[in-house]
Amino acid sequence: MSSLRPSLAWTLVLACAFALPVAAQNPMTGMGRGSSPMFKPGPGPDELWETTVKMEMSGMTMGGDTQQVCIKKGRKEADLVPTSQECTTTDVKTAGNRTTFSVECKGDPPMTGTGDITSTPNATNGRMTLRSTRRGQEMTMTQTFSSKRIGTCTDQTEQVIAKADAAGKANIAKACADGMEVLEPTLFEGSGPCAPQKKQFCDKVTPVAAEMREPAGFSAARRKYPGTLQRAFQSCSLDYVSVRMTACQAAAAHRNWNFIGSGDCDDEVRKYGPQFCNVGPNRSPDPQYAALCARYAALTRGTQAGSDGTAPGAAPAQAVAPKPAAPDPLKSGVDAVRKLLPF
Amino acid sequence: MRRAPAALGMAAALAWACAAHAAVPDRFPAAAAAYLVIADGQPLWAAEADKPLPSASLTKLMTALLVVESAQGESVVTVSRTAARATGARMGLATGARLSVSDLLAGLLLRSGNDACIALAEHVAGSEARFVVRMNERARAWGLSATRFSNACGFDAPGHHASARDLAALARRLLAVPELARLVAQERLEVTGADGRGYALANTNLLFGIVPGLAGVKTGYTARAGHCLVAYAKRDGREVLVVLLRGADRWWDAVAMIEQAFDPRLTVAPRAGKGG
Repeated sequence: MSSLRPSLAWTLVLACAFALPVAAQNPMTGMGRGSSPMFKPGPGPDELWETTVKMEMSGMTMGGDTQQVCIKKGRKEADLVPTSQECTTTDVKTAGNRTTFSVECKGDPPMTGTGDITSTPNATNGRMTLRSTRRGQEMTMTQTFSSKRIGTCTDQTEQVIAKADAAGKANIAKACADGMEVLEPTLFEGSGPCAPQKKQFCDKVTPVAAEMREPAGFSAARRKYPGTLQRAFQSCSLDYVSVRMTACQAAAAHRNWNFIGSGDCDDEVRKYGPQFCNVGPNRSPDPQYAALCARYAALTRGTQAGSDGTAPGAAPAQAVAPKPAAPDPLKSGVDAVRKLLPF
Repeated sequence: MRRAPAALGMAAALAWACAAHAAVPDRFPAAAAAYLVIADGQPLWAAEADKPLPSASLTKLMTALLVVESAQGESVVTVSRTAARATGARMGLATGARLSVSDLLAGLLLRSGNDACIALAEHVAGSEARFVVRMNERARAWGLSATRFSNACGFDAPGHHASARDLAALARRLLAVPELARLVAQERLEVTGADGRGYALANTNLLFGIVPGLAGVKTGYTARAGHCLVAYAKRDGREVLVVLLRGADRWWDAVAMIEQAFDPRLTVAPRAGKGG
């Protein structure tokens, strides 16, 4: 597959060669790529051309499709020279109706080559030869294209690109506004689309952090920004744990047991649980401690996998009917087999 | 010797069955004589889940199911002397009181009223004894192999028992009946009998107000059965069902089971110091 890369890359290169100065259009649909027409056949002022591109490599010929392109009026001949991010053209010379150039492409393997384009007012023919060496073997690709003017058209490439750019910018603006609304930090970080607004983002997070130092503000923020707060704090170099602990300490000072039992203040739950939740088995505590004691129960009862412990505060063992030792399933199965088999 | 392959197959099946049960860990070894925690339909933690144990008023899950399929909710029942004299938990019915089947179901499920229980059994089957026959027939039909009833309301009696797994299955059936599911999810309810007398019914389930998303189901207590509970909670499209038989501290163990089932990341503190 990797040996095919150059051919793909150069097919793109040639396509790109016409992307800016000309607008390609599918002759069957009259539409370019995307939903907007890149040109309108009609009175002009631009030129409608029909172009055929072929490529030859290792004796194989590819391409050969014909497509219509709309060449912007007033384009320079040099605009027809292939360009791409990977390839640079140098030594572009025009003499009479012939333009020659050299090309160097990065990539694996790198390629070098030469090309020439001959233009008349109503026809253009071009050829480019590229060479590379891969694993000691030299490869040569030859691309040819021929174009002829078939009429007039109105190039809309700039309008289409401008429209697409505007739509893209609007989408990014909306994503940034939405991200700001829900405090989603990933959009504003590094090379994210909203990175230029990182300061505004953190300017919004900072007062939220200040409000969260009180239990009411903390609860409100958790409701308003579910799932993003901790990452937003981290993104803005704010200490979420410190803010949470401050809110929990404030809640304890104001005996706000509902907040303490909400799941964010487990240190306080372990501290105050024994004091308010020891009401004896099968009894309910004062309702004001319900949330605290529910969380305390969830944190302290039962055992972790592999633990043999009785949960703190559980009723004495004699309150529970003794349970027989759990049978070893493997041993039970083996014993069952032994009983059934006559040996 | 020719029987050996069949015998091997049976034995292997037995071994697999044992292994399947053993695969559900016992995370709460001190919580109850038997318990079962089911999260989103899957058994999560259990101990002795198939052991027949006295079922106390959890019996009334079956009672309610048979009543709703046999009697019209608006039918009016006249309370008999036998029903009015029922002991234990009561709705507060007097002989001759007249209430609809729906109101008696509320008394049965919220207050765990034995007077409502007897009144309903008599209304449906003519007598409690005949009603109990139906209960046992239904238990067999539903494959509740560890369940046997001697009375309609859960009084301690020889041969009156159920397993945590059977009670979980009964609770699921009850929760599938909208009328009953609505009732058991009520923390309190006031009903007025056909004779104009009012009854304030506070649910005996103290988990209301403690467990977010609690949706019922039933409490039970007798001297032999101890403290029993079936609790069901729903949160964000998830559900947890807990059955405790002879619970050491049923409310708080149930809370812990439900909270931990909803959030498996909750880790239990190591044993250190004394706590609640």
